[in-house]
Amino acid sequence: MNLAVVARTGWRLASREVWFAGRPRRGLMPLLLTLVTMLAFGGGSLALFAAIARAHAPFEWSQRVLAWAFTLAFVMLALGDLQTALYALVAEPNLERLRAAPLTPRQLLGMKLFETLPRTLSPVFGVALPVALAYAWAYGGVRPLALVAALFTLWAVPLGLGLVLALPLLRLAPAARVRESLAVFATFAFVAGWLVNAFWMPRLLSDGVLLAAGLRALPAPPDWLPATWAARAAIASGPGALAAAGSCVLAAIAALALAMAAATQLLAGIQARAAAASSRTVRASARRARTLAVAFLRRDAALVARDWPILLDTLASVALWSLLPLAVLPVAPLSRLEIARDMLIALSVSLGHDVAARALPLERASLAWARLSPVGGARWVRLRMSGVCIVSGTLLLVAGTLVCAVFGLRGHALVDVLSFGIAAVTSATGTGLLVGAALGDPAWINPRAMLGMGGRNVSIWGLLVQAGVWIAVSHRLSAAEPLPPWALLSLVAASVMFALFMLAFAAHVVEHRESITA
Amino acid sequence: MPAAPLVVESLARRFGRVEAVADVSLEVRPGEIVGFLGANGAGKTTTLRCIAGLLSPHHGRILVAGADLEREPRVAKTRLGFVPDRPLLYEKLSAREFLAFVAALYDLPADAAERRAESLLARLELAQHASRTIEGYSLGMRQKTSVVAALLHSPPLVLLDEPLNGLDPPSARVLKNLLREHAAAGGGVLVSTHLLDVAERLCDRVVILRAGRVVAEGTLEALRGGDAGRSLEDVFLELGGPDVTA
Repeated sequence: MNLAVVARTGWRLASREVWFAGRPRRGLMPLLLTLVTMLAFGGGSLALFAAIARAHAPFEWSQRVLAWAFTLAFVMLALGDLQTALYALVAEPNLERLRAAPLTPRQLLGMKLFETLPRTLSPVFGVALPVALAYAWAYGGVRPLALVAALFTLWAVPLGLGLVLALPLLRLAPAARVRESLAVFATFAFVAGWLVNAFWMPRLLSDGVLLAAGLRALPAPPDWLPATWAARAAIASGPGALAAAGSCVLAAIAALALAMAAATQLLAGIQARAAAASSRTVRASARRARTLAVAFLRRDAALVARDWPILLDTLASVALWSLLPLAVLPVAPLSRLEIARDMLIALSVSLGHDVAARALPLERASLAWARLSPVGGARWVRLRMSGVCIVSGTLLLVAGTLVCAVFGLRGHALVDVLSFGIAAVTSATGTGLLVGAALGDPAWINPRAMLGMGGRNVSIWGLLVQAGVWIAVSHRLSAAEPLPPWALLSLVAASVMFALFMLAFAAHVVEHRESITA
Repeated sequence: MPAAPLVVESLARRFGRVEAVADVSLEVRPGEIVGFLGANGAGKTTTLRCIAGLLSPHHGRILVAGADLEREPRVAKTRLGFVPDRPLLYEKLSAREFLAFVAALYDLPADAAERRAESLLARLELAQHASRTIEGYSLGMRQKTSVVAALLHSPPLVLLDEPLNGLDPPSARVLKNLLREHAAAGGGVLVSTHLLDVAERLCDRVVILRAGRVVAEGTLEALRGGDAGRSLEDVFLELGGPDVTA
């Protein structure tokens, strides 16, 4: 293998993902996100370390903060981005060509790790590096070589050990389900991230005035974590410094060597199994449905039911978002009516993000039938919306009934809570369908990411803004008492108008978006 | 006299600064199979996608069996079937389920659609696999499913973009027979292919495209210019092929 040519080609491909023919490409978004994360973590930790230094607080507190920041980067890579490398190794479309080339599994592993560097390095550059630099600015004493060794450890150990653990699992999983298995990993990573975010952050933030108490309560990270070694290596001084950095590098090399050994043993077999496509025999009726609406519903049911990671991911997301207000509860006490409303609003808006925004991209390139067949974009979007409404409506009704039963809300209060849910889900469905139509990625791999990087950002911001607006409206109009029926009806009517406007836009996009088909 | 299955007038389409198709005019008459030839990047796929309604032309007019694609898109689309170079299929549906869905898109009567689908599936030897989900299909099986979907509503015009890709020789023979039968019934076929021997044996007329423009059009005899010793390959290399003299 001509390493220089391969590296040059890899670099060319990576750079064209970011900028090509004088225009920005989709690869620019992860870089911008990494930059934003870097600035956020850098700025935050700079302020934190400066405050600790000004307060003459014990030096160990800062070390703990640094170690936890390194641990966060480690976990982000292990849970969030390891699957990128795994996907590149076992399921990427260009594998067939590479497998036919005279490459050893080690060379293939090396190439794929190189290709996925922009993604797998983002937790290291976005979180660990800015915190370490902030620490260096506040205290000094961070030596560049030791820092490089520490960052290398943070990248190599989760990736190497992750591959060592994941490759045998992929060998056991049915070959045709490798992609789904990766998607499930992603769902679990998302759930874990959400749990930390929802339950930890509000408590940490509510303690803002008691920074010292918060830091005092912050436990030291476990000694056995490689992130702890990396933090020690980064700030070590004196005779122990070289040993700390050396042990980090050794750990990183050992992890990569283990991954190489696992790849040599297992990779070819796993790739061969993954490449052998399999299909299942289905018993569903293949007779033409009586109406086009029924045909759409039947098709949508089959697409979702046979793609179980999507189903699992949707249900997990919906449950987590609706529980979010409960996580904030001890921080900001609310009335029962407010909590019930907030929970249903969070659920409803998340349905726009998780169900409606994915409805059109779920069809992948086959969405081209909207342009190819005589159905037309407007009718296609309306028919697609009926499936979305059935799923979202059912989930909303079940959740609404459960929430009201748990909080003992009946009569007028029940109508109030459900009305807010219906209004929120209507506007979220319209917005979600538009985002899916305009920013959907027909070549999606991960069910959590059926939208392009920009689309995901737009969708998540849309979710947060809508949830914020609806919650603000509900608290502003009436915090403790249910709203009168005319006000509730007006809210729902305004939301329907907004959704119709969004649907008209979505139909226009489906009619004219050539990137779906070209 | 029925309207011509396809009339294209002065079609033009750009991608940024690149002029993919410039001033293309062509016609497919009833009962005719027209071969669409050209080197890679000549603009064949862009032209077919414009005719199918997947791309919007920047200039020109497309009439499908008398219906203007721009003014009456729904009528025009019911009158054409398209087999794209990359099949547009739902991976998690079986071929039968997919065809039932396509039948609903074209509002075909259930019984007739089912009979037609089963007949086409049987002829293309796909019937025994048609209850399996498409995700496990080979390229050839996907191509056959795409062909059945395009022929399901018996449209006056059938467009095919490299339809023989992935097909084994018996299936390729069946497909050619299906296209001949379609033409014999008064339909029109426009087929883009790199296989010149296929074009030579299957097509009544050929249109040769070069750099987005039609450089030759006519029956094989006319293109040979009376020289029976010249093959279509010779004609193609002279008019539409890449600048290769070897």
